[in-house]
Order: sequence, then structure tokens, then C-alpha cells
Amino acid sequence: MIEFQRISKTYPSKDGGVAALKNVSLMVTSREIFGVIGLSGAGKSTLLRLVNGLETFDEGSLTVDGVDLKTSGKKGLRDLRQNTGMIFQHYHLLHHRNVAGNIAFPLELLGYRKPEINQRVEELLGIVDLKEKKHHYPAVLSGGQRQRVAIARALATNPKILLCDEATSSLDPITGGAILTLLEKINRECGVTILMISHQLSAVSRICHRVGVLKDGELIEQGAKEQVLGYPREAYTKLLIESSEIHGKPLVKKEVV
Amino acid sequence: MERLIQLLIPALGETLYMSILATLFGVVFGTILGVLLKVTERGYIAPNPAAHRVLSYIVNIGRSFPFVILMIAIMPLTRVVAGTTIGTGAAVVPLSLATIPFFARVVESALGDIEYGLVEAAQSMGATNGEIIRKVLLPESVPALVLGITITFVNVVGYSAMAGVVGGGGLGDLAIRYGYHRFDQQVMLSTIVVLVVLVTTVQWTGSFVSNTLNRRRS
Ligand SMILES: Nc1ncnc2c1ncn2[C@@H]1O[C@H](COP(=O)(O)OP(=O)(O)OP(=O)(O)O)[C@@H](O)[C@H]1O
Ligand SMILES: [Mg+2]
Repeated sequence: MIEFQRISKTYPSKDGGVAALKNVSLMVTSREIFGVIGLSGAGKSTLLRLVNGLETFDEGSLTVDGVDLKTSGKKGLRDLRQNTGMIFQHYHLLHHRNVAGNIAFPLELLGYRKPEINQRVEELLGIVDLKEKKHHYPAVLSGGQRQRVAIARALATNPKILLCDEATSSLDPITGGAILTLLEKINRECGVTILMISHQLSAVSRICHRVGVLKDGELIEQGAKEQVLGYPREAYTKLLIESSEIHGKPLVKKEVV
Repeated sequence: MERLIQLLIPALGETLYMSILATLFGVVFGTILGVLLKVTERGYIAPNPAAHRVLSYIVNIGRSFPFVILMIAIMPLTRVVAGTTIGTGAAVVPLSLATIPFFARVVESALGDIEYGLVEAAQSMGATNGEIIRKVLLPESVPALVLGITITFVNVVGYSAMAGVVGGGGLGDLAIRYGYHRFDQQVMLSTIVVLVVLVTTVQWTGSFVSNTLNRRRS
């Protein structure tokens, strides 16, 4: 579904550039939840943002749902983006639109008609359990509710892929947990492939089927969640696990930051 | 009293005519210019350093002209656009021209206050640059733009006081002709009162509308 082949990316900077990704190869298969963990600055957001072309890469090739991102062109990229939802740590909802208006936004971009839009918005409000907040504005919603709106908006066009950039990192554990449960439900019931990145090992370990570990732009380890988190090969991965609260030895709550 | 009213009413009419028209043109063209200025910025949605630099120069030059000088300097242009270089209509041309770059900066700064994440979210949904401008940037900044229009209008009323130079009339002209040249304190004072009331009303209305719009978003 998403295939990174030997991807490298360097951000230009005065002193020769920052290598954000180095020779990363990764395959996300259809209908799975793949999680990427790593410390701050490891290149997680960069990796994710390549998938819908918010960022470009220098070397390697990236194919998303059969589309080669190097040759897709403007039209191809637009189609791909309408087939790929994305949610963010800080939600990024439009302040001038209420909940229904925010969810309707991507549908308006696609040129749907009013009745179709209204019907789809109702459906989505049901999925994210926000029917009674339909006419509220983002300003009065809690973080968890805002993320639900963002999820509904991302799913509006029935995308095959959902990209999650630190989707639960600003939320408390309970609210974040509920969001993760919702993502899992969406994956299971709608068959949406999810690529999520997080510095919270707990988030990744909770819903992902497979996991990759990024360290300074290199993907040092990947595999089934049980294998990577249960029997990590790399010292770095062990360190990440030991400093987090998962795996039956809850330390003093210490985020992997 | 009668005399005062007969002097003030037409002058107020001229001031309103010039200020409203100039604000209108200033807002329309200033918005276009301001949007272009913002989107061509480095790292924004349509980065184009060369275009950005040229636009920025134009705006800076436009804004650094003292209004009286601008009014006289662009007379040939005024003649082409308005058909004449004197009168209230002719004064609208330099007033608009002075307003456009001012409002362009107002727009640029209002757009700059929008979280870039909103733009990226729209991009992630496949929005084109045109859609981002029409459906994200401008609607998100409406409350700020309303305040900007208010400030602009008050500014234009101030500039229009100098329209007398080209026979534009208006309250400023009245104050200069009667209050200054003929030492008519009564006219001078009542002109000031009318201007204060006008500016206060406009400012109050602008703030009220902007606040209402902001409150509606919660
Ligand atoms: N637009 C940019 N311009 C220049 N350098 C950048 C840019 N974005 C990211 N970087 C650099 O690339 C590296 C990887 O950044 P990235 O945001 O992908 O990390 P991350 O793993 O998502 O970190 P975090 O957990 O803090 O969000 C960092 O060194 C960062 O400073
Ligand atoms: Mg990040």
C-alpha cells in the first residue's frame, strides 16, 4: 500500500543540510496499522509527510496505492491526497466553520452536492460519536473532541489510507486511549490502512500490528509489534522500551520525549 | 446654525464619498496585492522570491509617498482614470492609490497570523492554492480584516482632509477655508466635532462587527 524504497531526505541548511532520513526502506501493507517510533528529531514527521507529498525526498522511490510520487504530477498528487486522510497533533480545524462545516470541507473540495454532504456528515458524526456537537465551533471543544472532528474530516472522502502525526500526544492518557480505540475501530470496520508516528511507545504498542524504529533518520528495526517490543534486537529500541511505561513494568511515568 | 448646517452637510457628503470609494478600491486591490505578497513568501504556498521582492518594493514605495505629494505627482494618471484632475471624483484616485499598499500590508499581516498547520491540513485534503486562499486564508482572517478595514477607513478620512488641494472639498477643506483662512472658529470647531463623531462611530462599528464575528466562532 505504501512502499518506501531507499528513501533519503536532507533539509537544506547553512552548514550543509540536515539529513532527516537516510536510506529508509519500509512497506506498509493494505489494512494494517503500522507505527513508527523514535525520539524527537528522529525524522518521524518527515517520513509521514512524504506519503502525501507535504514534503519531498531526494533519493529513492515512494509508491502510495500504486502512485509513484516522483512522477505523479500535480493532478496525481491531488487525487492521492483526496484518497489519503491525515490528522495532526494540534488538530488544525478551521475556526470559522463549526463541526459539521469542518467535516464538510473536503467534500466541498470534491464538489459534492449539499444533500450528499449533509448525509455523509451525519454518518461521520455517528462514527466519531459527536452528533450532539454538530453545530459547535472548535473553540469550545475539548482536545479529544477536536481530534474526533479531525478524524471525521480525514475520513470524509473515504480514504484508503490514514496518516496520523502524533495524534494523541497532546491528550491525557484516557482521552488519548479513546482516540486510539477509535482509530482501531476505523481500521477494523472500514479497512483503512493506518500509518502512525508517535514518540509515545504506549500509543504504538496499543494498536499497531507492526512497528518500525527510527533513530537519527535511520530505520534501525522493524517487524511485528510483539517481536520488536517483546524481543528488541537493538540497544536503542531496548532503551526506548525501558524508559516507557509499557510491558508490565510501569516505571515512574516518564514520557519518551 | 442654519449656515453651519448648509456648510457641513455637503462637506460631510464629499468626505464620505471620497473615503468610502477609496476604501472600497483600496480593500479590493489591496487584498489582491496583500494575498500575492503573502503567498509568494519563502516557505509559503507559492514561494517566488523574485515576485515577492518586486511586490514588496512597490508596496514600500507606495507607502513612503507623503499623500500631498502623491496627489500632485500622479495627476497625469488621475486625468486618465477620472477624466479630470480636479474635484471630488478626481481626489478618489490618489486616495485609492495611497490606500492599496496600506491595506496590502494589513492583509499580509492578517494572513501571517493564521496557523500554517491549517494550510497544511487543507493541502493534505487536496486543496489547490486558489481553494486555500478562498476557503481557508480569507475566511479565517475575516475578523482581523474587518478591523483592518476600519483602521484603513479612518486613515482615508484623515488623508481626505488634504483633498482641498485638488478641489476635492470635504470636511478638511471646509475647516481650512473657513476656520484657517477666515478665522471662523465656529466652522472650525463644528468640523472637528463632525469628524470626531464620524471616526468614533466607524471605529465603534468596526470593533463591534469584528467582536461579533469572533464570538460567533465559539
Ligand atoms: N522544514 C524543515 N527545515 C529544516 N529542517 C527540518 C525541517 N523539518 C524538520 N527538520 C529537521 O529534520 C529532522 C527530523 O525532523 P522531524 O520533524 O521529522 O522529526 P520528528 O521525529 O517528527 O520529531 P518530533 O518528535 O520532535 O516531532 C530534525 O533534525 C529537524 O530539525
Ligand atoms: Mg514530529
